[in-house]
Amino acid sequence: MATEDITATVSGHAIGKAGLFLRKSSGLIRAFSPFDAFAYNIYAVSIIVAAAFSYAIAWQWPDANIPLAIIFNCVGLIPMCIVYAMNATVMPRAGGDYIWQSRVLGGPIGYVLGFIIPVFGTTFFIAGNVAPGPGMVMSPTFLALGKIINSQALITFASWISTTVGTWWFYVFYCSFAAVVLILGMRFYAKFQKWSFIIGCIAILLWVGILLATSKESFASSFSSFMQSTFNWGDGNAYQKVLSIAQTNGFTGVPIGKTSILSSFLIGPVIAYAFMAIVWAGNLSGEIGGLKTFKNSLFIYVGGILFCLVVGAGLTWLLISKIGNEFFTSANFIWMGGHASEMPIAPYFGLFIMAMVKSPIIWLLIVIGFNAWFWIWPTNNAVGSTRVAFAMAYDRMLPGFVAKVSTRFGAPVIATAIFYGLALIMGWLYFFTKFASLTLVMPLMITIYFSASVLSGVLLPYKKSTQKIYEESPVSKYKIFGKPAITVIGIIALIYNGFLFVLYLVDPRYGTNSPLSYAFMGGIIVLALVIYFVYRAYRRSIGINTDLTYKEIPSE
Amino acid sequence: MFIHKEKPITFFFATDIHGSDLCWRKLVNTGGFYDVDTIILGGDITGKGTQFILEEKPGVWVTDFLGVDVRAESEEALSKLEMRVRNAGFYPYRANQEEFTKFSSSATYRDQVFQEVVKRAVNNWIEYAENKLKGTGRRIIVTAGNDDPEFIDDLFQHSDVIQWAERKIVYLDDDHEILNEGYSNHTPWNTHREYDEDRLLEVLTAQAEQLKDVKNAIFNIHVPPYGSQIDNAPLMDAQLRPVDGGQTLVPVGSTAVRKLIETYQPMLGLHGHIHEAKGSTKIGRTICINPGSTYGEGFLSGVLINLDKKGVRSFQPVQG
Repeated sequence: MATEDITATVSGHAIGKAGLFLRKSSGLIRAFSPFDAFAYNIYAVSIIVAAAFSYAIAWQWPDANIPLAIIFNCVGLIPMCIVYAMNATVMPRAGGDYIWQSRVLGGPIGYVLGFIIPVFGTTFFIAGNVAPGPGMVMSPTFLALGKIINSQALITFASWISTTVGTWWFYVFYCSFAAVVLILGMRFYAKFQKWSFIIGCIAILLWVGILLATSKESFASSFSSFMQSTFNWGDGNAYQKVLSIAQTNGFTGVPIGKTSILSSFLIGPVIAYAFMAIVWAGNLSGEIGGLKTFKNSLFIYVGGILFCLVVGAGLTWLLISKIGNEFFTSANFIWMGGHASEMPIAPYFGLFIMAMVKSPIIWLLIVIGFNAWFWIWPTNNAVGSTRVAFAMAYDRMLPGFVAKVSTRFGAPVIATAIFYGLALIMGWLYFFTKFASLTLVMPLMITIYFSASVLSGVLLPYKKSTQKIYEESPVSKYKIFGKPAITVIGIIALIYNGFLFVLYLVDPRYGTNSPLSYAFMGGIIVLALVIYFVYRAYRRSIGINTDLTYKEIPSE
Repeated sequence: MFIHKEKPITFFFATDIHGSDLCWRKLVNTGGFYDVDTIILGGDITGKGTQFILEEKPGVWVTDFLGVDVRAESEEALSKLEMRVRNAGFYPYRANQEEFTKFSSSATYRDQVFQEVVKRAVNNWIEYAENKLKGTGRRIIVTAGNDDPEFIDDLFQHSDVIQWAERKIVYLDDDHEILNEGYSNHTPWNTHREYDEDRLLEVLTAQAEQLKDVKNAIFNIHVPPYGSQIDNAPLMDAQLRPVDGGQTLVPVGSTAVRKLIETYQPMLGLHGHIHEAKGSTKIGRTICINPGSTYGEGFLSGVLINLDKKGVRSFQPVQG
């Protein structure tokens, strides 16, 4: 009995031409469909919440054009997406990135990167992913509910939840929610993801409709009126007050027409922090059906980045055209530049869309959409991490109990408990210490992680161990100037990733080029290496040579 | 105090290669690569279909391979195409239009052709193994699976390096016997080797009773024990489509195999059948392993197992 992609193979029989004739034998379609993986990737990017968070961080580049930056960045990431699609077609194996990296680049590299990013990293950056949730999603939600049932307590709660303490308690609640989702198993998760995606896409259409029905002139008065009636803030001119707060604190936004193409290009790393995650489904490669057909892989990765490009750039452009770039960047500055306390609520674009309509019921519909895009996102990260943990445990490079699935729940309860405990510790450090600044190094590490998979693709046709697999895959027929397309496109992808990497290192605004960041990054690499070699030595002592795990068996 | 360290015996186990030429070649090479004398291949060794390659006109061959129209206009191109087909676990079959008409309209003729191409492929496998393993002291123990038609039992009988072990007790070494069974409980596909659970338990028990030292024995049984996690497969609806995007997994193993293992408690259970359920588990003292299968991608999934007189010292999943 097997997970087989038989849809492709019966075609010859079905249409009466020479092809494959299947005999009586067991088989069924693989678990995750390409569409599931497509949706999964879109959630990894979280084009509404994470992406908006990155736009807010971009206040440090006041003359950047965010929609244009999204287009530049998504186009720059297309070569990487193509290589991921090719990798997945050549080696569609569970654990994806970890398998490609460890088999092509070597066990220690695959282990260290897999350990740092999907296994340890998820507990590490989940705090950073959940942190914007209270301000961006929960505050507007409680605000809408408070307005509907006329409860001042809920409106006050909407403000409190985006304070540091409020965010911490929300984080505890979120981690508990994520743990329950993981323990309830993939059946619940798949349904949750499917409905979130449907609701989220309907919500985007609603927002677009509201934005199209709003004029730039009317927004200023609508926003001012909304802030006055809801929070008694802004003296009836909240729009101007936002601009004034920013100016008083040294920030002046520029109109969209005066933005710089160069700055729009140079904020690539900010945008990439969110959009690069479009290849996160690489970790699920062993579970997605149809990956041997290259066009399915392309749909997941390249289709995913194009979807993000259209929705991300389109929605942001529409928003800015209605609220003004000066207002948008000033609000981002207030929120992320350390002046959020000067406003009663985080100035996230959900709030702006709410201000465009007067009906609390429509507000609720608006925020339901934001919730649909938010709640699945950090949980999605954790699902990918469990796949890599499973692959490592199967390689005998993590203790077996990590991958143990509870008979009662049908879910990895121990792995989830470890994830939950670590996430709470990391969260506390993130919210109440200076630890948060160290997490800035994670986008750099993620760039390295994804680049390592791209490099694996570049080398696939040339490594003795993978040459044959490559030659027999449908990908091998694609050539550019007589060279394997995966290699040529991979080099282009590495050049763009290298450009992002250099910017991380030279531009202090990314916060990654401090000695502390380097020490932290070096520290976790050393930690992972120590675990790798200690575990390897232990396994060897009981007769297991883990080096064999990473070697391809010869076929001749 | 002097401590004697017993040298373990190491062997390699893989399963469910479903006709993949590439996986067979890799399997044969595991002996030298991992330095093991015994290689055990679990069941489901035959491929799932015949790839008909039509001679459109003299020297021009066409077929739809995995949803893509392929055209071969030279002997070299045709050979490459056939190799790709074989590596993916299918059997290429070249013929003209007249034969294609007969082939596509007659199930009996298709079965006849299938037997022919399987025989040809197995003979090639045996020849490859003999060339590689003869004189090395290495051997391959092969058993059947539920997807294997019964006619294949005769094909592996005449080799110096391959031992056909279906429903036989064979020895790994002086201390360890291996029980071998390819039949499974019923599947939704009504495949070639299926029994009711009662009948399966009867057949298995009869074999277990022949063992001299059951505690040191290995049960090489294609279907995994029920409810062992290494028997989890996606839940399907009446049309055999996975529900919930394939996310809902249910145990589909055999209750008879579970009962047998609980009763006899051998040192090790080797299983396959459910490709996606790779992993290991313990039932009492018995370690049960399913290395899974990724034959379709040309990867051989297997496990290296170290045994000593007391039991399983360690095991190491490998894939390549």
